[in-house]
Amino acid sequence: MTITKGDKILIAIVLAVNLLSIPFIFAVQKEGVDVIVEADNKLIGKYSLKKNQLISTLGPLGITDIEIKDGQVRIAQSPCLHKVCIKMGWIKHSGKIAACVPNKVVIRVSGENLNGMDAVVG
Amino acid sequence: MIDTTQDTRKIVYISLLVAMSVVLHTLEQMIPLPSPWIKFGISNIATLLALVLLGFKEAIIVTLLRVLIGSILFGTFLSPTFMLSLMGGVSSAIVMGVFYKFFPRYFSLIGISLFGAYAHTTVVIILVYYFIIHHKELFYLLPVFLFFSAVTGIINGIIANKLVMKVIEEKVLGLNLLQKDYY
Amino acid sequence: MGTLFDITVSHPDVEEARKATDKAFDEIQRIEWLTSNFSSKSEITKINQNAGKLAYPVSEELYILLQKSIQYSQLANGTFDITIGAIQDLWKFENEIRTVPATETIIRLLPLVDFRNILLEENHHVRLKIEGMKIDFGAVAKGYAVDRGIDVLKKYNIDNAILNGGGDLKSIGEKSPGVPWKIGVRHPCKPSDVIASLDGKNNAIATSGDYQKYFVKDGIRYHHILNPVTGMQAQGLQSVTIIAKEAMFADAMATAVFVMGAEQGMKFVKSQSQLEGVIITADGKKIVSSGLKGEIEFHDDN
Repeated sequence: MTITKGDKILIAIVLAVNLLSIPFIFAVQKEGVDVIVEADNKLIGKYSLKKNQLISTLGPLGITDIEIKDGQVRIAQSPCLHKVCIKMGWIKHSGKIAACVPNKVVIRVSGENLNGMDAVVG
Repeated sequence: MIDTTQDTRKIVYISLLVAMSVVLHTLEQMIPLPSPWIKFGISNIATLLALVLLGFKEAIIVTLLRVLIGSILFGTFLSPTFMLSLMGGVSSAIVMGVFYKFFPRYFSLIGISLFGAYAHTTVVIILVYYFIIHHKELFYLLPVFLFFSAVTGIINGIIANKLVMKVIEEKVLGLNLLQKDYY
Repeated sequence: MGTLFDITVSHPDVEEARKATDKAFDEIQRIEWLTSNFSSKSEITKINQNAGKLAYPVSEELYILLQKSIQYSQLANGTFDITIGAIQDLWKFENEIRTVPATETIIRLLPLVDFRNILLEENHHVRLKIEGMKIDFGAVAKGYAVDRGIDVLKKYNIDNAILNGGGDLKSIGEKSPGVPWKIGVRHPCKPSDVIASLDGKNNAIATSGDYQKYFVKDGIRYHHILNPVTGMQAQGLQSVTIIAKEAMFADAMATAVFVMGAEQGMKFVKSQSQLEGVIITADGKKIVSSGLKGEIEFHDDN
């Protein structure tokens, strides 16, 4: 079997769509302010990215360590098998997520400095 | 009379493809990648081969067995990871089967594999959104994931194309298991 | 309570501010224990366990909380009711298992929801009239914690602060001399956006929204605000924001108005001189009470 004309057209379309969506991804990237930690679908806490610290949280498999350093955050240690979450590395932009799916720990960077508000209700 | 040799052969080929799939799946876990959510999906090559050489039903069987055996090997059976690869794998196999059956003249396995990779990625992201991470921000990442799945899908398709050619040229299968003319 | 509390303080002395916020967080933690029914030892759990049987003696603080909650229920004509616990448990919003309860189960348990069956007796004894009744402070606990947290801040000489408990917030003083605190109201469809803003003027603001806690099952979204009369999700609105003097009152009334719906809800807000509010309906219409016109600014143009 060899490559067909249909394949080539398809690849061209896919590449074009992907290239067009790149500016969109960067457009929504904002420096994060806080990181929100959830474990087992429950809110654990919200921590400032400005303060370097280590946060330990408990999931069904055990303790997952989250490290905040120089405005970035990552999952530093987790009891899961594949360590996929650790390999995800540092995240810092608003809306970025790292998660340890087996241990049900999700960290999410939030950039809630909304329109110069001092606080947001709701 | 049912041709039992034919049936036995089929079972043997399915087993071979499952074995190949599981090995590829295992190999894949060892390759270090920048992001864990990006996978080569090379075990999908086995599904593609099954689809072309054996048929739709067999392709689904190979996928199911790969997910099942893989999860038992890695101890993730019935875990969220398992559910994700099950749903992703099956939906990808179905989409590939549909495109293969209805558009064989337009796409080689490259196109088919690309559709499969897209289906896999999309289904997994939607499931992750509903069951694990309930944040819309996840979908900002969709273009990134789709881009990588397109690249890996194309590469897998090229490999599968070559393998199918080889299988036919070398007359490995011998019998008329092939359902169509693929040249 | 499953909420993040956030304190913003404007104060010249950092050490003093830190001490005050630490104390305020301690107070919030204490109230979380007081009002929760997670612990088997909590007073609420004991009252619930003795439902239909004995009167259980509680602390003065909890007794007053119950009194206030009942007053709110009377005022809101049952659209707010802390005895929703029996039904709320069926929906398991805190739990990972997402079950939609059978209609007949809801109907069977509905008689257990009635604030009139909370009997406040002598010497701080509380009795629930029917076995199986359950008190759930979910709709007022956060508000109460915010009120108490602000009291603590004041006690420690903080004059300018915001205490934000997610859906409930109270502000005192101003950001800097002559500059008021700016408070945003979250956009119900775009959670990282604000839909409106207003100045915080020593008052409490509470929002109840269908987006705050929900689960999706078979394509249907089930949110956490239940109508005590039907035991089902209150329909027709996306969010209700209420402004009052006390956060606990605002919290309860936001829930009540959400249950009442657009028309009844706004009529109710207008009938209460101590309340102002904004209702955002399911189709995105914004209804503002008269006292708030000119005070609130909307940030999307439709």
